[in-house]
Amino acid sequence: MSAMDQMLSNMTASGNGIVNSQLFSITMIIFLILFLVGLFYAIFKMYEQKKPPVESIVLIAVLTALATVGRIILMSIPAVNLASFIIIMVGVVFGKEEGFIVGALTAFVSGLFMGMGYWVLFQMLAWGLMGASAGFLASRFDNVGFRIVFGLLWGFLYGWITDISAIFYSGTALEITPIIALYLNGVSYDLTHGVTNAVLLVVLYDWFKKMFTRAKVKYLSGNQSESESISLSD
Amino acid sequence: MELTSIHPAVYLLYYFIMVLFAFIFSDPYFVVTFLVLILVLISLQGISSELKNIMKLFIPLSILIMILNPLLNRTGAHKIYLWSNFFITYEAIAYGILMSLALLIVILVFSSYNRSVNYQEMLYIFSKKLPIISMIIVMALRFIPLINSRAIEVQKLNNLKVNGIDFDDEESDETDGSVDSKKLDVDEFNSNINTDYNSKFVDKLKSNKRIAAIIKEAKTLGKIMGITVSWSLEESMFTAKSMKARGYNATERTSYLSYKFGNADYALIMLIAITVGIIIVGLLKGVGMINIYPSIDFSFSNLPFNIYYLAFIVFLLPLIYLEIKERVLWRN
Repeated sequence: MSAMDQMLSNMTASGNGIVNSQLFSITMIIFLILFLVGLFYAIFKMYEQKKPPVESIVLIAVLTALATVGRIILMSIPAVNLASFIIIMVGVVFGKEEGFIVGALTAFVSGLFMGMGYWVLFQMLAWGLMGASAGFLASRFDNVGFRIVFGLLWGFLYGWITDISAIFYSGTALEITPIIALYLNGVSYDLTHGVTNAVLLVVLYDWFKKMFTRAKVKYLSGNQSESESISLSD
Repeated sequence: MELTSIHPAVYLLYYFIMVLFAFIFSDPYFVVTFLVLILVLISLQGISSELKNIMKLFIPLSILIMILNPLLNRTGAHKIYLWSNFFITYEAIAYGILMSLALLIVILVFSSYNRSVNYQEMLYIFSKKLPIISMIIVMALRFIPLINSRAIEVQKLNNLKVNGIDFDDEESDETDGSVDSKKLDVDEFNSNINTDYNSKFVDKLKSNKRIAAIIKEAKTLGKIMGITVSWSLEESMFTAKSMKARGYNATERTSYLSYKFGNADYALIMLIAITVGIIIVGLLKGVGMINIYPSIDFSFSNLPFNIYYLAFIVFLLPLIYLEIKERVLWRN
């Protein structure tokens, strides 16, 4: 108890406001990172608890790979990626849980290619929420105007969520200036990203919906006649 | 070179603490020491192309921060008048520079982490807790080159079609084309993702000036993408059936990698625990952090030669020591 008292008195005696604010921001960072890791762990664990069939596992793997390729192929053109579009389509057709998992894993797998860092956690969150929100609003996606707004909005939301990772990098995290600099730096990027999403959602929506629905019916309706399909293949 | 193997979990802990320290320290002596030692470590590990890509993004951001911070932030005691009424503060400039350095250190730490721990070791940590998710990640990693090669094939067929070769008329043309594309595919499959394919696309997208041409290109891109997606979805169905037929999920999966805590791991953990303990005591006393606003309380004369600074250096040394030791052992 006395050691603790001494520490506290030291902190107050030195009169360093900055010590407090830095310790506060570091606590916030640790809390935020632990919260995100816990969130992903809980959602992944929920998926594992359901004992998903092999088809579902392979489906998520192939969709993740497609989205990752869509990101990596166009890496040299900044902000233009096909990954967001594929993730939104997965959310719309397969549901919010699949959307979240595919989005989060896309960020993770492309992080393995492009360099891992704590910012990957925020990309996982942004893309996961993108897929999940598309799953929640799936019924409205037949409206073209809604699709445009959704794509544009998520271009900006993705940028804002991933920029959180950069806000915290210096001790006094609660400064407004670096945040403004950061978001000014990102506006054109986010706009390009959003426009790409919107265009793809207008042009390719019907085709991809048809394709994904077909895959969904083919993959996930086969579960009931599991033993039958194996005996047939023999 | 990995002569001394260290458990991936220990690496994870070590690098996590390093990132936290990059966030915390603001004393220029500590920051510069951190930067120098990390640069030494990275130059020993080898500079990757991925680091160069990240640096391209980092440099404009840091310049923007250094310029915007003095312009927008007027708090600070030492004013520098540029002209009659317009001033910037010394503190804001110092803050901008320290902030960019902190960002640079974080980027370098993660770059070094990617060098030390490869993805299989990273997945090894997850596979105990989340077997299905790590299975999905491994499968996705295998699907990526497959999908890429499919996309290249579709693009080549599309090029043939655009150039006016008719597939239905003559048998010879078709077989020639397919043989050709197969030969090329092997080469491009071996070389990694997005070298040839990517640059072709970029060149096409950039060389087109007229909007109509761009739209046409985008349409082609969309078509290629759609065909690749549908092809991959169909093919993966076979993968699923095959996995089921071979009894996937019949028993628990095992990993071919196995790591055990060795003496080096215990030594490293001990070192981390002791040095971090000392550093934290120092941090609570205010060593390693400086006040910037409202008035900077740092002078170059008060050198930080105390036990906390020593502990900080010792904390950063073990990986450099391992790298150098391995080099020496390798030579002999």
